Amino acid sequence: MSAEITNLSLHDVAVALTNGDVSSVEVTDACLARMEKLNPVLDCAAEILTDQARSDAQAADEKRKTTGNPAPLLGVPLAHKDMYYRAGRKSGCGSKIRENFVPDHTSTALSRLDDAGALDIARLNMVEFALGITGHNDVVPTPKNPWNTGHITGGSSSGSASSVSARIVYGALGSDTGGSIRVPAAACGLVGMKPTYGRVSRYGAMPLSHSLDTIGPLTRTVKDNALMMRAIAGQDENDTTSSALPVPNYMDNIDGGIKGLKVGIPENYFYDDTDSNVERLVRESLNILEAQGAILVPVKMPDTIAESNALCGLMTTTEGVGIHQDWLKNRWHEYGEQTRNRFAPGFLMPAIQYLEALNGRAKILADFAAAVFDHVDVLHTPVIPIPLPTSAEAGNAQSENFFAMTNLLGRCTRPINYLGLPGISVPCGFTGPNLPVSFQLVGRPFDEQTLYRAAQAYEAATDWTSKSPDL
Amino acid sequence: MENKNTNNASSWLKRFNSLERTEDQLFHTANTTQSFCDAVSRTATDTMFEREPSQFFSLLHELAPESLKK
Repeated sequence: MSAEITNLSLHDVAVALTNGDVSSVEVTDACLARMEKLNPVLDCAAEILTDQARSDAQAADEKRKTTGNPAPLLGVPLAHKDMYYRAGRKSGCGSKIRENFVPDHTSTALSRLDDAGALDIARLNMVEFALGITGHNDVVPTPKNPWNTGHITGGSSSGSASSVSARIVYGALGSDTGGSIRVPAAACGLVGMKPTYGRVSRYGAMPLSHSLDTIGPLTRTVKDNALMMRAIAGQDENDTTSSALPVPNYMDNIDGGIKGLKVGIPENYFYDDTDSNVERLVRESLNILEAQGAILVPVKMPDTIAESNALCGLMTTTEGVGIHQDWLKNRWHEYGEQTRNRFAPGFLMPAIQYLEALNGRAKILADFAAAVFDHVDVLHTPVIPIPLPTSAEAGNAQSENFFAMTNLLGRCTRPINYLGLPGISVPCGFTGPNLPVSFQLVGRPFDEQTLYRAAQAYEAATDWTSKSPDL
Repeated sequence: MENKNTNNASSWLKRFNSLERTEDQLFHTANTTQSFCDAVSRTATDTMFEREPSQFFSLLHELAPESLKK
């Protein structure tokens, strides 16, 4: 019974709770039992909040008895990347430097999930200060990929991806500055949404790059993702960069199909360095979309797309150093080697180049929109263009191929952060020994709804998201 | 390990950021910074005179679905 419960999707467990088929206490106990069993293998959790989770589950069951119209996620166990502050609770940010940090305020994203009734049952491991795309962490445990523990989870939302993929929790928040939701989601066979810049408040979330940081969910299915996004999206007076545009109900018309939807296929850049097996699987997903009624349209990417990749890195390291400069100067050796070496270029960045990268963003977005969204509704690309590297490869920064490998991992995601656009990662198969592959759909600003509808049409026509790792 | 990008980087870091790094240690750092600067120079082909970051956020909203603007 316990395995049956944890194998349900977030959407289905919410329905089962609403129908009284199962209680939140039963669901939470099943998740906690799986966490206790698998965390020693997967290292996905920094802290399991057992007592709090059970107490909150009992309260949720009581509330359901007395509430006529319960909150949409009432009693559903989730857990989140250890960078979302909750007042009075530790938030280690994947680091030694902040391992005992206790914030005095709660992040808006967590508050909104609380309001939606969700439970928060663990703090999840992550890449140190969210700066790293492989998932490797030199200073706290590195989460393992449930599909193949010898290969990377992707990062930086590594524990989020590992725990959701392992059927420990039903969904988790990640953060995405250059691919940190979409890459681990793709590596672990999950759906990951990086929303439009400004769609979700960053208040109370550990910053890395204020111009690029976004917050979104990693889930097993598209509908699960839409449910979580609906709960966290929207304007917040505590984050002045959050948009005032209304938040649609992403579940509305999510099964409406994609007949006539124009899907762009990039003629250049996104497939330039893509492995042939990955490319075959990603392109096969286009056939499925076409069979569902989508119209496939070749699209030429503007020349600036390659530079957008580098400009994302420039802004991340420069703004990151702005945040970390005191610690980097005074506590250099308390950072992991990979992390401090990733921050270091920011110290040398001339201010004028940083400002040009910032000020040129509107022009580069305008060029991209004219090239893409004047012709199609969404753009279809790979997420990770290579088969997943091994954990050993990700841990050896001295190897000859390390920089090329890390550059390739984020090649298809970083430009989307620079452009501020929404992108969703959708599983579409496996290469080699249980190594998941995904495609990415990129949409117009604030059009997450179309991405969910297109991703749902694909998911409903395939069975990738129903597969689970053998643990 | 000799590289022209590291010629002044270590003294710059010490002078302005109080960081002690040798030129050897700065080899990849300086090359990464250089690659970022090169990307900027390739994109900054016309005048930046009347540009500011807020234009990016305005454009994101201009490009949003009309159904959200009503």
